[in-house]
Amino acid sequence: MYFEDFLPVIMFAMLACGLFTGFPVAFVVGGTGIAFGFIGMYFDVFSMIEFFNVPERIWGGAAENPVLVAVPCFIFMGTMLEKSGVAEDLLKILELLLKRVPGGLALAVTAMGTIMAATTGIIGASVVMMSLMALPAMLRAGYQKELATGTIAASATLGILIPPSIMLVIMADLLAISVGNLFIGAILPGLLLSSLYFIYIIVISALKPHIAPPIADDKMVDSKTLMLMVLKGFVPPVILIVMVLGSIFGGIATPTEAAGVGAFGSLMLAVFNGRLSISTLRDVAERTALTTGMIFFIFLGATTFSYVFRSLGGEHLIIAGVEYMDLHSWSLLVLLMFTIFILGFFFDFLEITLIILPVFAPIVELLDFGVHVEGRDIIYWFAILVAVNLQTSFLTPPFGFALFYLKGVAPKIVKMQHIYKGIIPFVMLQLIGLGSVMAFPGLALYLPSVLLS
Amino acid sequence: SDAEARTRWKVHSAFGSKIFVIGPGIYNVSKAVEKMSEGDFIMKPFEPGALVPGTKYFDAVSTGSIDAAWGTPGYDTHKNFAYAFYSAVPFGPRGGEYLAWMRHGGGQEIAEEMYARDNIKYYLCNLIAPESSGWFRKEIKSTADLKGLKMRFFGLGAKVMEKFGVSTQLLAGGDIYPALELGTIDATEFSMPAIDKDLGFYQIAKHNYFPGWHQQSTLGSLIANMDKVKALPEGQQEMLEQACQAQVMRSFAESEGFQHQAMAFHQTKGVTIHRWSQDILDELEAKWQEVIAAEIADSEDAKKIWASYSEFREGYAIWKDHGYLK
Amino acid sequence: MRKLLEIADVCEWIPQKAGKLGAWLIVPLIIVIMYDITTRKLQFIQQAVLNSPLYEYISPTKLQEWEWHLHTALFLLALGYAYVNNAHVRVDLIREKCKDRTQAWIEFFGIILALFPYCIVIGIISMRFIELAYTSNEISQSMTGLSQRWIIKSFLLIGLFLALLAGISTLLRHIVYLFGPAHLRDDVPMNMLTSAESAHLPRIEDEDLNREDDDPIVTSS
Ligand code: NA
Ligand code: NA
Repeated sequence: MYFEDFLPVIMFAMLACGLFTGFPVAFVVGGTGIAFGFIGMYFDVFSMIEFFNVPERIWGGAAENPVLVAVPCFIFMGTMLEKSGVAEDLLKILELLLKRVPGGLALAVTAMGTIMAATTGIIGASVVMMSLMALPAMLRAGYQKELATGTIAASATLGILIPPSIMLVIMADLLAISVGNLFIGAILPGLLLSSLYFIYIIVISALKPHIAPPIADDKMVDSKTLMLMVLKGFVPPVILIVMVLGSIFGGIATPTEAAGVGAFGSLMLAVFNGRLSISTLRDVAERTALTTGMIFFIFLGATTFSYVFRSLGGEHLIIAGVEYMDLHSWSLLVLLMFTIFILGFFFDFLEITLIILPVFAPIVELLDFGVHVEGRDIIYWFAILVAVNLQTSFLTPPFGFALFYLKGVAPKIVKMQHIYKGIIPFVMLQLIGLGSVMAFPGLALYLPSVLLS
Repeated sequence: SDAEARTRWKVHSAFGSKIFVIGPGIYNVSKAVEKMSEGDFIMKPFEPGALVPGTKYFDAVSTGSIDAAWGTPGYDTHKNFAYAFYSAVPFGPRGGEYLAWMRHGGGQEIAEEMYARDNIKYYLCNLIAPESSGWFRKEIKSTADLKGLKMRFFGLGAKVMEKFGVSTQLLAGGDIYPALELGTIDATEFSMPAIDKDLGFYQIAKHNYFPGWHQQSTLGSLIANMDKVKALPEGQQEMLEQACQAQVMRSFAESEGFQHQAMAFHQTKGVTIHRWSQDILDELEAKWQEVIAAEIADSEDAKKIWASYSEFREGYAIWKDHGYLK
Repeated sequence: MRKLLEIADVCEWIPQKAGKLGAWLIVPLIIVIMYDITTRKLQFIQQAVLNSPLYEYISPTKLQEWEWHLHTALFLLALGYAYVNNAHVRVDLIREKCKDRTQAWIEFFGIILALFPYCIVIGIISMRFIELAYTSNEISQSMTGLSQRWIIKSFLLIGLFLALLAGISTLLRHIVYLFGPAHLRDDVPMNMLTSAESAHLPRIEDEDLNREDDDPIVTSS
């Protein structure tokens, strides 16, 4: 081995150090990519012309990728709902309705995340939208910042697992297996995770009421006032969600286009609330642009980093490492899950699927799990396990996209340390979910076998 | 052999390695080249997206940021519309006639000359059987039923469909399946039965139409940066050539060999397999003639290819009509 | 030194304006989507368009390409805009505990070592990318979509240039802050310092939030 063979490892270390300087994530990750391209040139393992692949990747990945049109639309929707007070009204009511349940507001947020998951498979969009709508209300209600941010980040990333999901489509394509089977197979694991969040929130709020304070008695209202509030505050957002979900399930719009429907609907709600003016619209549009610019600069940097990492032989290093262990069946599966989990600290889901799936899926497919999983089902089970694991990668520090997007729109009093700390219990829940799907393959395989036979 | 003397190429693939025939094809070529060169010439295939996104490889090959790419000229039409003729031509020839035109009717020379302008060496490297004409949620009894149909359709065939009032949609890859499932679109064209089977379209659209008039047979390509090719020893250049020729034969046999099982499988899942009536095909072909006449008008390359192609097919017709059973 | 601050203001003004203008693209984006899905159900409109000269501009395929064109222009124009408004996310675990001067040094080196190389290298290489689109008169891969791809591809270069300008503006301010005379330091608007957050940053207002919070709420300057 030569020194340059370890450049990809040093790249990780530099990225981690760079992130903690507090310089913007997008520039750190992109700058690390460029720097190691030059270092690679010095060792003659990279060439200047290879940087040409970066604009191509940016183009195919972020620009000419019609699915991502949903990102600015959903951000616009979230911002408009927040700005026009619709989100606030909704959460106030939920707060009142759920006053007897420990952690009621956090539960409402989890439920909303699960419902929104059925409308989009784009993390940036759902995290930002949910943060804009729910985070201020949760903080105002006195929720602990860790619990509030953890709940939002975890529930909002359910969208990548629960169909429709661009991640599952890409995995199905790489594995040449049915998208339909994967979509349906992912539903139960997604709901399982959502239930785990529910249970955790109820338990932790019951045990430590001060981190999820119940509503104060002096804020209580009589039932007539409550009914009026429900009508005024509850109906508009419900109409909006029905519009978005309805346009998808009614066969009117694709999930991508439904984001546009949501944006349009939020505008209409603001009109009906009498809160739409040119200056509001300008403000919301500018905020949307700021957030969209923030999200896509991270993409620009990350795609550069991943490309240089691969070009310097990082992929080979990982594969060789796993193969060197020479494991079989369960131990190989566990090692692969562990590897994906660790890769998740630094890479986005697409890069991880490209590193792991083509090489290891054919090997896993041929493994023998006895009666636990039948031969022809192994690949679907494996794909769902990878999918749950990849959802987790959005949540794991230091490089967790969902955490960055949340931080990008959170109030200044929410620090990265709150977000990092707050996500830990949810990452544990993810691992419990992953373990459950490993132990009970039926979670991934039962629904497709019933619905698609 | 000396490690320093080895040539290593990074080869992009436009198709996932598991996609029937078109995916493993580049691995066949790279294995053949590696064995023939006894390890001196290694072509490492990469999954779509690993180096550059799936269909966006033309510029990268041209500038040399990747050494070669496995795909089909149909993905290069954004650079020059005339490349469409080297992928599949609506109402085009079957495999045998297509190859005959390429090798003996002047087709290949024009392709090589066109790619060479962008510093690219073109190899005819894959040939696959007809595609299905598409998956429809409802039966189509006449071209009148096409009016107002929302169909995912890509390429020149889309213009033909539009002439019948089809609203052709350009949906994102990830949106096609749910859109078809939920009725946002009524139909989609896709690929051969053996590929469609893996993607599970039979689960949601129960009418599978044939023949695939828009893609009677499809040519695949390996394109390589010209400087990189010229830098190869002559022997290795020949190996590349031979590996591609072998792959053409292999892919043709494979793609012909495994469709009937897939179609039988679809039938067991309740799919009705239809054949377009001759009337419908005639109407489609008439519109195709209108479309192509308009399309080639402003492209010198397309005119030249169309002339060569039409001349060959006219000459070939007497052989086709008499040499083969109907 | 004061001259540097004036240059910094100009360098900031351009990405600010570009981002604010680009932000309006969300409106046509929503309109295009709504029009596309509405007329997909109202087939008589689509059929009318299909048989009219309008087809050249608003066929469903073209509309769906317009969607990502608008989206792409929007986010690329916002790259620099987001930086001058300090909207790019930071892992602020350690940074916030540092003194303003240390933070300024981090920003100074970060811009020189990461932001500039990124924008310059990718910017220069994207010129070739745009040139290839221009010389080949690149069109949509679907052949029935929009043409003139070089126009939208140029936004990549524009976006990176705007980010570079945003970086130059911030760097100049940090130079004055770090090396300039003491009397000028107070005039430097240090958006990037956590103790003096940018006032014009549109995001969730801190003052709306719970005042009983145990963290000291940072006041806007
Ligand atoms: Na989803
Ligand atoms: Na992560």
